[in-house]
Order: sequence, then C-alpha cells, then structure tokens
Amino acid sequence: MHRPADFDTGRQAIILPTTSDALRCASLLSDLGLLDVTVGRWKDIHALAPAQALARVEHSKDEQSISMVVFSDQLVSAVDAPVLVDTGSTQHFASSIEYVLNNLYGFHLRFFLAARRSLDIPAGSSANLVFSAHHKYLLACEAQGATWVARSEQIRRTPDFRRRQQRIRIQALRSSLLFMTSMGHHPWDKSYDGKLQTLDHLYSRGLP
Amino acid sequence: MMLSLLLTGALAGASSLLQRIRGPSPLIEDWLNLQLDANDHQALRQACERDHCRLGSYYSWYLEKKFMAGLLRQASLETIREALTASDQTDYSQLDCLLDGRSGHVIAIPHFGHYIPAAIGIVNHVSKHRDIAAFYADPKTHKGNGLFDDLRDKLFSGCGGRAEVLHANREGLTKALRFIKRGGILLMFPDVHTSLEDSFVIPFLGRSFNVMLGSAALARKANGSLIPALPVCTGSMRYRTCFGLALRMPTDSVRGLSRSISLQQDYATTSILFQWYEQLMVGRAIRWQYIREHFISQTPFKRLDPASFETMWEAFLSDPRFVPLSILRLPNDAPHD
Repeated sequence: MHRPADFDTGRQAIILPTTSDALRCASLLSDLGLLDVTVGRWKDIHALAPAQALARVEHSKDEQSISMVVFSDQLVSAVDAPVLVDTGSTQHFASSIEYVLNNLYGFHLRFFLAARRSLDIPAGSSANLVFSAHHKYLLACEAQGATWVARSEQIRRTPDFRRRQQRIRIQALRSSLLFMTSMGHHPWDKSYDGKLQTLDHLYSRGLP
Repeated sequence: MMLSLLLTGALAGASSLLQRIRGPSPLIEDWLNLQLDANDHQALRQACERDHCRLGSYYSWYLEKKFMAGLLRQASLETIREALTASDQTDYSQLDCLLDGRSGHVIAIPHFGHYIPAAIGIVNHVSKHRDIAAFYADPKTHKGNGLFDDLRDKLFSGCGGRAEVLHANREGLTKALRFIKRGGILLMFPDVHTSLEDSFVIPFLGRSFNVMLGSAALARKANGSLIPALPVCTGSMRYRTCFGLALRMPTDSVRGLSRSISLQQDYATTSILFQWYEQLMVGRAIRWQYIREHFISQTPFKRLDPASFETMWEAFLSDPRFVPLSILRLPNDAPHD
C-alpha cells in the first residue's frame, strides 16, 4: 500500500471539520494504515485526546514519519483550548496542539478551508501564522452549514461561557470553605479572609 | 361543597391505584401529560429508593398536584376558598408565637408539597394582623408565576392592603428590605436561583444543591429572623404547614461586621434551613418540585478539612481552566491558502 503524496514523508497533521464525510474518511485512512493518529474528543471515533497524541509523538523516533488527523473543532474545553485568540473583532479560545505539533515536533499542518482547498503551514511557523490558520479553519467549519456536527460545542470556546464556568467553580470553592468553617466545626483562620478576597477578585475580574 | 368532596374522593381513589405501580408506565405518563426521559426515570428511581416508595407514589403525587393547580387556576373564588379551608390543617398558633413582637421576619417555604395553598394560608392568616408580602420572580420573566399574581388579585385584593406582592428584581429587593425593616413579614421561596454563577453550594438530599443566600441575607440586614416553613401531607389534598425555630443572626447594624463573617452567617443559616427541610422531607422527598433535576445531578458535596482545602486551593490557582495559557492578538496580514 502506497501513501498518497501528502503522506509520503515527514510529519503531517490534517485539521478537518467534524462532518460525517470527514469522520468516514479518517476512519477509512486509519483502517488502510495510512493514518497513525486521530485526535479528537468524540468517543465513537476512537480518537486520542491531545495529551495522549502528544505522548505518542514524544515516544516516537525523531525521523519517524507520522500522519495525523486532528478534529480541532472537538477541542473546545478549557484544557484542550487554552489560548485566547483576539482577532480584532471577536475573541475565542483555540486549541494548542496544532502549534505544539508544528513547533516542537516538526509537523507540517494542513488546515481544511473548503472542499479541495486547504491552508498549508510549514513546520516551525510563528504562533500568529498557526492561530490565524486555525481561525480560518473555524470560519470554514461555520460555512459547512448543517453538515458540521460539532457546531453546538463551539459555545465552549467563548469567553462568556468560560467566565460563567469559572464563576461556578469559584462559588463551589467558596462554598466548601464556608461549609467547612461554619458547619464543619473548623475555626475560621485569618488566612481565609485573604482567600475570600482573592476569590472575590477572581469572580469580578473574570478572564484577563 | 358536595362536588368538591366527590372530586376529592375520586382523586383519593385514583391516587391509591397509582401508588401500586412499580415501574415506568408510558400510558400513565401520557394521561398525566408527564414528559419523562430515561434520565428522569433514573433520577426518580433513585429518589423513590431513598423515600422507600414506588414510582407510582410519584405519579399519585403528580396527579394530586395537577388537580390542585387546575383548581387554583380555573375554579371560582368560592370553590377555591372552600378547597383551601378543607385542605389546610395547619396550627397557626405556632407561627403566631414566632412572629411575636414588632420586628420584621422572613418566612422561607420551598416548592414542596402543596406549597401554593400553604403560602396562601400563611398570607391569609398573617395579613389579619401584620403586613405580609410574597416575594417571587416577576411573571414577565417567569410565566408560571402569573398564577400567583392572579391569586393575589382574586384572594387578597380586598383585605385592606396588608397582603402584597414584591417581584424578585433589583427594585423588589430594595423594597423587600425596607418592608421587613418596617416590621413586615416577607414570604420567600429559597430553593430557586436566578443565576447559577451567583449561587452557593450546600449539601442537600445527598447531593450538591445550588442555592442563593438571599433569604438569610435579607433577614440579617433587616435585623429579623428567618422562619422555616414546610407543608407536610396529611392525606389526599390535605396538608399541615410546619414551622421551624426562628433562625436569628447578629445584625449588620453592628458596623465592622466583616464581609467574611456576614457571608459565613448567611451560608450557615441557609445550610441549617435546608437541613431542617431535609429532616422533614425524609420519606416524602418526591413531593419536592425539583426532585428530578436534583437527582439527575450526581455531584456530591465536597466536605473539606483545612488540609484538603489547602490542597484544593493550590490546585485551583494553577488550574488551566482558570488562567488562559496565553493571549494572542492576530495581526491583519493573515496567511492565504
């Protein structure tokens, strides 16, 4: 079995939108042995989480060619998408695995833009280049209409959503402290005043 | 009167039949217009196990609740009054003792059992000698609460202005505080929150429960007390509202009370309030309006000691979910394909 030209040599990652066609394609390539790793968060596609995929790359030999498909649109959680990208008109959180692959492990990136159109980012490119391409990829996903099945997940990239989640976590921690000291028979330590103030500050400040 | 008795009798018969049902019945759920999915069924199964009852008990309760809601919505004023008088077996002398004196208080009643007739009963009784206001979300934002406004108009419009309604918004909150400070009695429903991110977490019925501290904070700020109330079922379409001991907190008028201390007090008062509810709800928690949502959530409440709190604090500060890895401002000269 010969690999297509794109997969001939080196390390490559193709960043695809989650559509039924793309999922089928990734599955087929994987079955044919043309794809080494699929990255995503959906359980039914047997994908690896970003940390698992990076561990596999880390343990591979330096010259070993690796082909990867990344469903970046599934990487929306605060752990998977920790980079706040400001495009000038909007803000969103983007995944970091593409940049890590590109800069630390020499991966050539190919971002989906439309059918038969992609954006190539050579290994070792700047953060601006990688994240701009990622942004274009997200816009291209948007343009897929109803076929883009990860659309509803994208709210988790928004600063508003993250701020709400942060506040819910702050309140949970604050409640644990209050319960411990008021109902759990543990005396109020002076240091807790400072901690409550920190939580107040984080709550009102939100994301930087 | 006769019709009301016949209907109540028929309801009691239907309820006892429903109580025999062990598992989910799509036919009964259709009949009750009850839309339950697999998660709801699982939650109700767990709640029923806790209450040592069958799912049929939930169906039976739902029928009774539906019947009461229909009656309050559609029946004539006279029929409503008759039904409420027949249903209410509360001994209000207990409440009178708790409301002794001139200071204002907050009565906190959850969405449990026949809480609407119970709230009406409290307002009706208290308004004979004190000013009382029911405090709930504005029907403009919470459509279901339109029923409460209608009932206020129907039942209390001619009672000399001692019973009123305050809607839970910024303006209503200010009015409510002033109302209690003037010696008014405020009736609140403490088991709802308007915003998850503003709520606090307490242990309740074996799980974490999000709750606002507003009832406790209002009582503290007005130098009043918080009086727990819960309507307990005493038979088909019968209830008795129980009142707990008044929870009183040191007042805010003592300047210098730090925010930490007042927050701690409000939290403790709210926790004690819900502990009291939980004790009375044993074996009948399925009558709580939010039982399904509460049991769908599997989140346990984290009880920490100082050492585990410190560990959690350190983890919290370095949590990547809290601090973005970096912030990137993209230039305009984006790459082209």
